[in-house]
Amino acid sequence: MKSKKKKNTLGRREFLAGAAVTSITAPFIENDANSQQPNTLEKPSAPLPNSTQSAMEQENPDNYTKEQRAGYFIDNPGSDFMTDVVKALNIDYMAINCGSSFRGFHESILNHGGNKPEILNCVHEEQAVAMAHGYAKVSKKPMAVMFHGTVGIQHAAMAVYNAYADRVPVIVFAADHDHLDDRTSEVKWAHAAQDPLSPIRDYMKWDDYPKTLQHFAESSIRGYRLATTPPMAPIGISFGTTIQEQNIVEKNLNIPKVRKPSIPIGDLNAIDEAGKMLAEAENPVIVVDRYANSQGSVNNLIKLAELLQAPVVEQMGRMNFPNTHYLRQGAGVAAQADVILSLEVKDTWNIVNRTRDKPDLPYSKRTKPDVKIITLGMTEVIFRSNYQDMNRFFSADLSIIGDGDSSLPYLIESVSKYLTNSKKNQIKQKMITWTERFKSQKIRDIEAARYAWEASPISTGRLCLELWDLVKNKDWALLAPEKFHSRWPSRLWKIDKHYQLNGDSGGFGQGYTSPASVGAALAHKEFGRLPISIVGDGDSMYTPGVHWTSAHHQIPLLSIIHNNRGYHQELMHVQRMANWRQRGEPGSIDPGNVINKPNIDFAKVGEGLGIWTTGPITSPNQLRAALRKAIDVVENGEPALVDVITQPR
Amino acid sequence: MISYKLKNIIFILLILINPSLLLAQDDIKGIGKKLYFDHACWQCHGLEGQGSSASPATPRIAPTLYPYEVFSILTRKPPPGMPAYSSKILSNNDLLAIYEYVKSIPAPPEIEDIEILNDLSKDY
Repeated sequence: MKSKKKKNTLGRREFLAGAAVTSITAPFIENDANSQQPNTLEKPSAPLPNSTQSAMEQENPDNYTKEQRAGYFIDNPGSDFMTDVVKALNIDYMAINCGSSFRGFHESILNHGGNKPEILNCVHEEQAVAMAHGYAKVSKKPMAVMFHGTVGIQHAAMAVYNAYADRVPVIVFAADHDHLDDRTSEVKWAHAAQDPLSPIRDYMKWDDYPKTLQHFAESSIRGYRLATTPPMAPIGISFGTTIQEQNIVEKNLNIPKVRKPSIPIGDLNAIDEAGKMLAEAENPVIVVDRYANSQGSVNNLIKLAELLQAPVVEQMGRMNFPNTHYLRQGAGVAAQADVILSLEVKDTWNIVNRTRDKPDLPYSKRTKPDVKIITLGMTEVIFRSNYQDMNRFFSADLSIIGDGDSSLPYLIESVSKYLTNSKKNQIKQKMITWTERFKSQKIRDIEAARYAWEASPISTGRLCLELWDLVKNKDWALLAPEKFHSRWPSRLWKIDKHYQLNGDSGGFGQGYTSPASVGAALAHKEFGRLPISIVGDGDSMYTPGVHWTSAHHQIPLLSIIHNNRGYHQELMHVQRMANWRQRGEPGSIDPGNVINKPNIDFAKVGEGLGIWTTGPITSPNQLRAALRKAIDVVENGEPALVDVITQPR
Repeated sequence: MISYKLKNIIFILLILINPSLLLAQDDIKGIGKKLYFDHACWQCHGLEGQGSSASPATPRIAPTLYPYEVFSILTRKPPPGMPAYSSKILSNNDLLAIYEYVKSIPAPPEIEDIEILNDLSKDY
């Protein structure tokens, strides 16, 4: 029996020995295919087993002694417990680019956790974090990401900064080769650090490096609570290979209950004062940026705006206020305001003041000198020293720290209390004026869209409106920032649901849009919505690999490349410098700014990554059919990409 | 300074004397088109002069909204947002050629002739 078995199957020893021979000889054989030289590596290089090992090979491993087992097996790895901790956080997805420093955790999630949270296979850590960023803004739940030591953390850095600057929660796990004897090669030394998360600490809310499993559990839950409590932001938990890979030795391990803290609202006295100021104002204006978390938030803001007949200036950090509502007005309304409510706004200074990009940096005021400013939000709660995303200091007349979304019902109550009947009648008259202004602006926008309608390259207006015409009766969501395509969707699409826009990147770092759109599309998938992303060609080239991830995980998303073949904003910046300095030959500013010679063929890029593509679309007459086909693909559950050669903006 | 109207009158008289000048006018537009690209006017104003609402928002300049004199002033001493093109980097002749090109950009279809825009306009 013994010999017969040996003939049909390879023992572990033979397998290893054979593998060693194959791995060494294969390259020689391939390189010397025509050579008549005999292969000189005939003997296996693996050491022969000793008698104990030989005996064990034939035994049932369950019968090994404790000592014998210790040399070969881990029965109760720490990362199984770590997986249970992550499951307790009720996280649905973990985006990773695999790495040996978290091989234990990775295996536990797959085989102990049953691939829960579901692993999302990412080809770059920047992509993984940006996916988590876009996902969290739609699902209102954080996604976890896992990084491979020093290298993974550094790859991820830009996307973590974007998420931080956008105040979006991401649960970062980062592994480290902490154990001296685990550092079996120079590679592992290069992937180990004393303080792994230090490169990104400046733009996380908190991080920790627990050395025990119980500590891991408590820190993970602490981090989750911090990340998901406004002001939200990424948190990081690093851990070594030791606690993942070794058997659990800690006694009485327990996973604390995950209870989320209540959301901090503003001081009620201060909110009452704000309500009085707004109710008594002649021309109140509301400026809003990263406020709304739900349709309820949007409805509350409509209620407040209508109570006051106050125009709302949307800064688009989130979808806060419908662009179909007559009180949605342009930023110019601030000029007439006597009281401005700055609601979860990043940059209140810029509502009131302005400097210009001219050689003498001229300063001017946008508002009346005696305008009163009320700030309400969590913007001021989380500033770090190094990165200056706090914007210019502004001293508000009334500054209320508290979550804008949760505080607004109290503000509405207060405004209602202070509005007298005569004031209400006076306010009602404003509705006609605002409605007229709203309609005039829409007519101007429609008029503007017809210019370059027939142009090739295709105008951004034509692109956005052909798309609108095809999706207007569907349940769509637009996932990309729109400032690089002249904000056509905000100008002329009908946007009234909170999930229809997903804000911008926060830190304005390139490489955000495609992966954040894939992450957001994943969150929309369960609702069967049509997710759409219009992405610049420059941005697309940072993280194109995400299209493979969308194909692999079958995440439907319509990606449209706004391909103007350049870093257009930078082109304009350098031209500005040339003009200031009165020099330069025509065309001298192209190097470093344009993306041509060769032109990038995004359809081919996408095709190579496994998604349906079409393009380059150069003629407006080809556009509608191409978009329609792509929408069909997405509605059938697959990602699609349309490369459209466009006007600059 | 010769007014724009006077300039046109002189130009028409010259064409009556020598019709081949029409070809020269076409050449000017061609040169102007190249200059419009080379001097990067298109970056902000678009390849058709349509303008944009991106930051910084830039006005539409075609079909031409201004007489040459105004066009020249707006180029040499622009409002905030646009960098000045001095005569050192853009000669008067070149600016005139650009103007002739911008002027030649045809008007787009009317809203009524664009179904999507026509449908949208009915809501307002």
